[in-house]
Amino acid sequence: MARMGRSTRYPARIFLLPVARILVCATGIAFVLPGAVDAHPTHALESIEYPVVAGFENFYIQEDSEDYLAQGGELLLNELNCVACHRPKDKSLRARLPGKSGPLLHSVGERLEPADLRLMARNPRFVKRGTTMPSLFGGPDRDLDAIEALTHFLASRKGLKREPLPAGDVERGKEIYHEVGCVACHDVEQGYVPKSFPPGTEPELPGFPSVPLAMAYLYDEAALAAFLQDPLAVRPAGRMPDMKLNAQEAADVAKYLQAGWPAEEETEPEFVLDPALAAEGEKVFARKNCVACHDAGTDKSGAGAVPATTKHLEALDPAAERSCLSERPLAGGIPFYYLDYIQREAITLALRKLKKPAGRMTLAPGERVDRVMTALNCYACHARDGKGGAELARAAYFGVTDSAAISLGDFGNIPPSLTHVGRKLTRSWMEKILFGEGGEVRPHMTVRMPAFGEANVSALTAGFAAADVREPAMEMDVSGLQRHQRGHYGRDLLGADGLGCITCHGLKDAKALGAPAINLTHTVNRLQPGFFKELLLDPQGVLPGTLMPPLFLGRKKAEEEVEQIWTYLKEIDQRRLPEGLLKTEDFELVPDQEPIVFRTFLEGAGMQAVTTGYPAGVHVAFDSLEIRWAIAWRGRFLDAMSTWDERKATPARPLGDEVNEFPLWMPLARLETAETAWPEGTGAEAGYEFGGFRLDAGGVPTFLYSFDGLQVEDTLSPSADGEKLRRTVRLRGEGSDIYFRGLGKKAVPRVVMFKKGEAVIEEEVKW
Amino acid sequence: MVTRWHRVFGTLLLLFACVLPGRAEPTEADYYRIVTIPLPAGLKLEASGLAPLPDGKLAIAIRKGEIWILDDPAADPPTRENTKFTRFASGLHEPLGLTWHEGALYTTQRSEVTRLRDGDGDGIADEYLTAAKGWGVSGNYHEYAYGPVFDHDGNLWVTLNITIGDPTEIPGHRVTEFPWRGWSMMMQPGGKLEPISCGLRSPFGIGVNHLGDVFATDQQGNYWGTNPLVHLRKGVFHGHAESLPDAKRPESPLEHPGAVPKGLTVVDASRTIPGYVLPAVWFPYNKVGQSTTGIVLDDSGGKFGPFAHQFFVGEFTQAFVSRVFLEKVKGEYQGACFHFRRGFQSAVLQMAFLEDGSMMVGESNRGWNSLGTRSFGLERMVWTGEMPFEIEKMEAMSTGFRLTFTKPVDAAAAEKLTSYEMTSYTYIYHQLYGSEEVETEDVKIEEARVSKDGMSVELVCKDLREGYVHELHALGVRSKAGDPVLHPQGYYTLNRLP
Repeated sequence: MARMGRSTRYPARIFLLPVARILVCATGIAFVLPGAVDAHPTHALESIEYPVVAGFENFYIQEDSEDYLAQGGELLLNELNCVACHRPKDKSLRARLPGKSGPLLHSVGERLEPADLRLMARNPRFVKRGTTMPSLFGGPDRDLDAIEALTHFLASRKGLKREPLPAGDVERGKEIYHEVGCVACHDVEQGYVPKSFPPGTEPELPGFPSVPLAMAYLYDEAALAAFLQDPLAVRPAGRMPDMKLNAQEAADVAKYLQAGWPAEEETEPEFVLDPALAAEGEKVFARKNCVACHDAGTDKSGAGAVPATTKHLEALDPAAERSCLSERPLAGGIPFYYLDYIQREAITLALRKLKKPAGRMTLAPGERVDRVMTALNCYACHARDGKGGAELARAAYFGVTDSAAISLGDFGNIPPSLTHVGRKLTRSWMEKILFGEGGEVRPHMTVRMPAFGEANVSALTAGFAAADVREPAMEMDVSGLQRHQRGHYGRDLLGADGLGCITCHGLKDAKALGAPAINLTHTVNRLQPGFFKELLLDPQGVLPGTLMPPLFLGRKKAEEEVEQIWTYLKEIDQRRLPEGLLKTEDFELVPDQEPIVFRTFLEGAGMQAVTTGYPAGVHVAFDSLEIRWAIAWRGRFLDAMSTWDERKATPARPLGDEVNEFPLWMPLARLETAETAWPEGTGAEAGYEFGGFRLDAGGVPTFLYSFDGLQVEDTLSPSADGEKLRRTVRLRGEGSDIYFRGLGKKAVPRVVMFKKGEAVIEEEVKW
Repeated sequence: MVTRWHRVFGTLLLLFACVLPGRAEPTEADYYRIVTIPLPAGLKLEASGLAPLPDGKLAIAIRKGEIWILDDPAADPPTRENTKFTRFASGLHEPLGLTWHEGALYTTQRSEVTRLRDGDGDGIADEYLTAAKGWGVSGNYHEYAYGPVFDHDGNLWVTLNITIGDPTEIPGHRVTEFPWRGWSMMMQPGGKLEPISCGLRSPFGIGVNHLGDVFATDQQGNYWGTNPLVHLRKGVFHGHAESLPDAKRPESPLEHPGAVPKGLTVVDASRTIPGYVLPAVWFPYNKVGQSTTGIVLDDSGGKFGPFAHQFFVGEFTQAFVSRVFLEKVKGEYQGACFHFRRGFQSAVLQMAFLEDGSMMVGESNRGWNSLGTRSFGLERMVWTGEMPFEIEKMEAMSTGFRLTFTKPVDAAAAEKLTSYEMTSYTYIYHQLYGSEEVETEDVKIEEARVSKDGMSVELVCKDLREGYVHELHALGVRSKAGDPVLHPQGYYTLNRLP
């Protein structure tokens, strides 16, 4: 199964193994000629001289066997909508090749300038690289008057009501474009490094071909934003799905896609719409059979009538001299598709096969699903049965919204595999997802599941279900448990003292304790019971690579226990959360007897803070990185929850109030005179080295550090009444140019006097 | 693919079936029994560091930042009465290792190695002196620091987890560079902490073998197809590319190898990337665990059974202890891993040997999940004195492998070629999380020569591949007494053919 960039022209046949594919991809990259590709995804300058059908690009190359390539030909017959004119005679063939409608042209006059409409009608691929639209005026006998009439007709197609859109932002648009999943099909911006990338790593360039963003820059900006917000309203075929952008996001992405192009110079003469010509154009629109693909929303343009002269698909002769497969435009109004060699070959093989079918024409459920997934390019994100899946270089842009999700590995940011999905999801849940009506359970992913339009994906639900039947079916009977109100068994199993499922799975509003795997709230609505059991009994077998431990391995009552959990999840609305998710433990540190020394990440003192809480109600933090007293505060001390129990280790913050930040200067410096400027910098940079601390008999820490040959002992603790802090700094060493600067906001340097190699400095701090 | 997983699952089931009580076949428990230490109420002993003390007590670091002393760790059976825990130190920042060295306890906190001592003899630490520091801490929760261990020259070693995700931003946190994440670091006595090797991801375990060489375990993830055991030494790149930018710092002992290629096999990567040294042992994913943790050397002098000078390695997710045999071939360590003992009550983090040759096992599964019945605790594994029938050593030869058994084999069964099955495979080097086993091929065993004493078998193999894991299933081998091998699978990482 090939999935290659054409520019690579990789010679070998490639089989189903995903790993092999990755290898090929990586090897393939080396062969991709960078060409004249510019950084921005809409600026790609390389010419694409053939209609781009993503599924064909990804999975068919000329070295494939004829049988396999014929499948690619069928894909083209469908995606190029050949079947609109060449309607198959055979009913099962019609079901097999339903065709694909083109964009709606009801308001095309608002999206594109008349000059661009004129060019589009005359030579589509000149305006839109890689378009699947044929040229109807490509032949030597083209009628320029007809083109002009069409232009006026299309330019007259206006009148869509649109909400005003917010102003877009290029940078935000760039981020959204890269992280929500646009780059699964479209080009990435070279040189753009998402924030989530580890420092020092460079993104790789995708090896699989991208669907060109050929028209974004021609669109009116507001029209582009409106299109991005609801692409199905213009292109109901769903090949460009609805990424669920809100108005602001759509405006941002539109702004980004149009960024960097020079402002259009108005060289065209001003266009004056001629209603008579437009009326003539409407006739041309019908006569040239534009209506086979496009609905322009007028009476005459709406109905698709197949010209009497066209043949049934089965009757087509791929070897005919004059046909749509021609290498050059022909006279007589024959559509010209600009097919390349491999596409012509594929279509030829498909036509031959369909003419003399070797077997049944009805597709098996698995094949049907595969065709839909290929046509809609679901494979750009989802793997199924070893085929497809997000290309690594593209998936690298799919981020996480919660850094804890990174430890889920690929399950944290890459859309799930659809192997077994037909027996995994319930029908209603699958429809919810496919029809864009919610149902997402992976809020930690930035990439979104787009909506493809109900009509385009409705076949998938039944197809998946029929293709993924398990023999024998996994039985799950919980009627007994339910009758006897035995849901609490499942609660015990899920909890911290049971199997600990809640470590990774949250429930309702309670977040998981550890890595954020899927929240279990909707499990019984979402999953089929048999699959739930299958998964739990053999996590790796069902979901290779999952982090879920084989918790039921070797448990004698495994099946029964899974049923107990299912029962609990069914009754979750009436039951308490499992143990462990209900936070009852109190982590507040209360220094009521003696000082508490506690290291943590601390707001105000950085990531290497050593805090001390005192019974007097005044608390201090020493920054062992900058090697200085950082803050002091009054009232309650600290909550250790995030340090002791939370996987994310959110920095703690003083619980009390009256937080006093000490000045940023270091306590000691060598100065020429008291007037010399106090040196900047802290910690090692300022010549200090941290040595730890000692506790006295009362548990008060004295901090030890050195500076320029001096050994320093530094104690800061509150007076008994908590009114002030007392500091004692003992120095060992020598020096006549050593100055000390205290913790007061207005403290000035004073010289240190050593006696027998020692000096003691005391100060009091109030705030 | 699915079929393969089912095979693994089937094997696991089979193994598990073996340890169910009441079967005629020998089980792990016949040879190594696990004793659970009862804990005082309220003590959340998430044991992340174990240090046997010279007076026979055991010091235990726990994740919330305390060190506890257990008076009589070898009490048997342990009861609430004969196990006394006292708190020795507190307020530490997630210590993930503990060791006793020259009169003091050493532990590694998030930002430093700390030397703890009880100066006034009241049984509670009053000195928390900084022994070594100097690596970056951005506040990202994944920046764990592990160790320390001391090698035979008294050098102190730590390993540092890479940062996963963004640095945390808070007031008072002004530093912007966070060097040496994903590196091993070493400090000579009286010296400063120096970077030694890079390319680590989440190197929880560090251990020193009987010759004084230092090893670390790491975690399957991006760049790591599965869990490895690596030999730490100066100037080596172990494979995880996110730590490479620091190789450009002047203190770095290795030259930055430039951009690393991806999507090739680790074997090819090791031949392409300057300085990249393959792990001494790969632990095939799921087959030998999902998440390797602590390392301990069997220096019990035979008190723990027949595995002198081998490493035991902890496993988090599946809560077991595995075993590693190492040998040096053409100057580099390589070897095999084997299952050893399953059935601990929680994720195994650290192990340490007591004087009596029993192994203490510290556990905690907070943050991830594991098999077992508890989320933390302390157990003790004791050899019953019965000799298990095991593959003690699996050594590479130019023509195949020599298996040395712990008991004489039944020559007829051991000579049969059908008693063995072997495949070899490797992993992909890429930024993706983990890797499938790839390029799997059968290894043909052409002859099995049993030694005169019946203690070893030489397997003459065809199609050995340098750099590949060679997975052996010796399912047909029987001891003289007719027992099957307790753990008939061995996974040898054949980096070099002798």
